[in-house]
Amino acid sequence: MKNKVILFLILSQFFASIPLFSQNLEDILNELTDSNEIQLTEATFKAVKIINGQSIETPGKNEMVFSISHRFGMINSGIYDFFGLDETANIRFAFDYGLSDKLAIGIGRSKYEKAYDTYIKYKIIAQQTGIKNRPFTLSVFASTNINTFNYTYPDIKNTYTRKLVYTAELLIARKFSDNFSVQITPGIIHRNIVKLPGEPNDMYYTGIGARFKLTARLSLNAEYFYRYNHQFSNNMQDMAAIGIDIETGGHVFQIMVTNSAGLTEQAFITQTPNKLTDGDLMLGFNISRIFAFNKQESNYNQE
Amino acid sequence: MKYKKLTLVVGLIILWYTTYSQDIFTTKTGTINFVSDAPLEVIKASSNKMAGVIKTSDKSFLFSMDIKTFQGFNSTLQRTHFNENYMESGKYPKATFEGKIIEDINFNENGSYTVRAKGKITIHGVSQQRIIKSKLIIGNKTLKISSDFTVLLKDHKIQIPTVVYQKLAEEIKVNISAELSPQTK
Repeated sequence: MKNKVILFLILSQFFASIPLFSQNLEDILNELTDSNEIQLTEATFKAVKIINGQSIETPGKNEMVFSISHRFGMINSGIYDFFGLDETANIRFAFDYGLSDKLAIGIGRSKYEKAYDTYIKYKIIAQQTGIKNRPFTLSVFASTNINTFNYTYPDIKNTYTRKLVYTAELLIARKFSDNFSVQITPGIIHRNIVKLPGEPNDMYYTGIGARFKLTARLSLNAEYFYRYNHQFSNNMQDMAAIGIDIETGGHVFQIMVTNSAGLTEQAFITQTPNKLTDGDLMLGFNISRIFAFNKQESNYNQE
Repeated sequence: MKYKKLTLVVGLIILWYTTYSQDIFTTKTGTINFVSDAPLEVIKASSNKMAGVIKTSDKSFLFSMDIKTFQGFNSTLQRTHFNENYMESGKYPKATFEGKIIEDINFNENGSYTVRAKGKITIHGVSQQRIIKSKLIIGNKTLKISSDFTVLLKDHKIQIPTVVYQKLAEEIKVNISAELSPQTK
């Protein structure tokens, strides 16, 4: 009996040393770490705009994005105008500020129509994976524009409210993979006064935009805005744009070719006269720089 | 007699478990900080979600952390840039350090020791053999470790584009600290 017990003990020591009861460190670690943790999908787009239209992205909390956008003249104006680069069709300066990671406000000034715009953007649903899976991001965007250019119609009274234009959009985006994101943007623009007779005050539209990541710092972006009631718009055209994003961690450079000089929704959706089929395209760029006002909690103890 | 034997077997199994458990110390809230101190920009980030295991019986250890849990940086854009373009955390989600403590330590004796941890550090999917000096404090049912070391970006094939050369240090200072407690079953 005693021998049996001893044998048993020896055997048990042997068995204990093989991973029947024992686990290796990696297993223990895997047990510890919860792989079901919620992971927010980041960098669906790199800037607050895909190209011309708004993206679902907002600046982070207490971060300010300062952007300068520029659209040159027509490329098909030829070598005399250096393919449009001699001209400045439009310039916009804008400040976007993140009140929280979800809520952002912004203000901008465009050369075109001497317009000022203010906006608010709020992320309602953020795409995430984990215990709770959310397949897409949903943001809302609303802006008010005031066009302060001198009125050229003496018979129409130029009141303050007549200069106002309102925009409301839903921004729905999904990052399908690390390299591919798509956004659909249904929206409505209301203009208190329109330029030409027969134009509707309300313009309904849906934009579609996409980002293809080419390399670590370079992505190809494309955008198209379709207007549902375009037939009443006196030959105004849908906006299309294609461009690249170059990102360095602090700046985002966007260089694009587009048929619109408009830099706010009301301008590029309702006032794009240039036909794609005529090759009426222009070069442009957006540059944005991020300033963070977050207090860094420095818990790194440097000797 | 039969029951006695059964009791013995059950008892032994329990005994293995308990003896086994007592030599495993774990944490999942270790702190890790890093600093990139370049001429034009200082970047700091930290995470308190480092997981780790130390097995005192054979002095082996494994530490692991999820790259995406790093917070800090100078902006959100920079953080996503760090994940997407430098660490490629989609492809290489974890950084690990696995190996053995060189010194013979009596883990039953409370005290403060300076030890060398020898093992394989894996960042950005690239492994390096390293010996890292750490401070180990053995307390009542706790192991505290802390360490300062540096990581060379080029050791782990993390490339700095020439445009941001002045903004990113080639050598990243890392500081870790963790308190490990016996594994609970």
